[in-house]
Amino acid sequence: MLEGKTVNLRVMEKEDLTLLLEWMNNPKFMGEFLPLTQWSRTELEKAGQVDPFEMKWFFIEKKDGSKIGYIFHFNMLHITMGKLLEIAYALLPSERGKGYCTEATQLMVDYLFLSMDVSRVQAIISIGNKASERVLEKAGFTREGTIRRHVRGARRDAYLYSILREEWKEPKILTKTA
Amino acid sequence: MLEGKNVNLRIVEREDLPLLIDWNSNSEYYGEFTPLSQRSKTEWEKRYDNLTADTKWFFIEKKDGTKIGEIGHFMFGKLLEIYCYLVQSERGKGYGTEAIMIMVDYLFLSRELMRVQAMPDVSNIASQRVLEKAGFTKEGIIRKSGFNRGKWCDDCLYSILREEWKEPKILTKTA
Repeated sequence: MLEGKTVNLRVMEKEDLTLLLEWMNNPKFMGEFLPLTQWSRTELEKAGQVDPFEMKWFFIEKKDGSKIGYIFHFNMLHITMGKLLEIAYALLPSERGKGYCTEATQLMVDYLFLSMDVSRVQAIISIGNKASERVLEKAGFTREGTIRRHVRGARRDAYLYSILREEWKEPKILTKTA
Repeated sequence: MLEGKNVNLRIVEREDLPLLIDWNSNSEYYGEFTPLSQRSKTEWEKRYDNLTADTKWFFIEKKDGTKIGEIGHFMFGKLLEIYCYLVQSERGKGYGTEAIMIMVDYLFLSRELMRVQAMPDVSNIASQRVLEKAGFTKEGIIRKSGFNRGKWCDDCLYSILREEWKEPKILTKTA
C-alpha cells in the first residue's frame, strides 16, 4: 500500500473486480468524459489475464479504508518510441473537488519514478475536463499538446500531459520510504 | 524445518503468502534497501507457483514461532545467491547472522556447489557486517546493478567457498 496524507493507494486483487465492474458500468460514475462501454465480468477478467499494456490498478482509499476511486498505470505502446508510461484515474462523483485525486496522482508519480528507471510519465484527458486538467497541473504535469481525433463522426480532442523525472526531482508524498 | 540455536528456518508455504505480501508492501518492515514494489496477491501466487528447486523461500522464526524475517536462495545466472531480510524491530540481535549460517550449512550439505554469494547494497553496512560474521569475503563492487528508490545503485559482491566453510557450524546434528 502506498500511503499519502489523506489517501492511500492499494493494489487491486481479484475479489475487487466486483466493485470495479460496478463503477465501470455506471454512467454516473464514469461521467461525461470516460467511455460508456458496458463490461461483463468475464470480459474484465480476460482483459486482466492477457494484458499487452501491463496495467497495474490501484484503489484510491481514504484513511478510513473506504474506496473512493481508482488510479492505474499502463504502457502506451509505440512502434519506435517503445513503451510510454501513462496513468489514468477516476473518482466517485461525491468525493471530487477535495484534493484526493491530486494526491493520488502525486503518490502514483512518486511511486513510478522511485521504482522504475523511466524519465517520463504521461496522461491523456478529454478537452473540457477542467477538473482533470487542474489535477494534472497541481501534480506538476505540463500540457504538451492536443491529440485531434474523431469519435463516432464528431471531433473529440484530448490533451497530452507529461511530467519528466528532472521536473519531478524528488518524491513529494512518498518521502518516508525507509 | 532447519533448527538453529536462536532461530529456525521454515519453508514458505502458499498459505503464508499474505504475511509476505504484508511485509513487502509496507516499507516500515524492511527498510530502504528493499525494492519499492506493489504486487497483488495474484502476482505473488504466480511467482510462488513458478518457483523451481533452485529458488527456495524460508521464514526466519524465533524459537517461540514468531516470524521475524525471510531468507532464501535463487540462481543468479549459474551462481547460487542468498538474500536475507529481517523486520526492523528484530535487527541487531544476531538473528540475521545465525539465519545466514544455517542457510550456508544447508546449501553446502544438500548441494554440490563450490560457492554461495550475496549482494548487499554498498550502503547497507549492517548487512555487510552480518555476512562477514557469517564467514563471507567481499570480492568487489557490482556497479549500477539495480534501480531502487529513484536511482541506480551499486552492490557489494560477497561469497563463501566450500573450502572456507569446511563444515557445518549450526546444522551439526544432521543425523
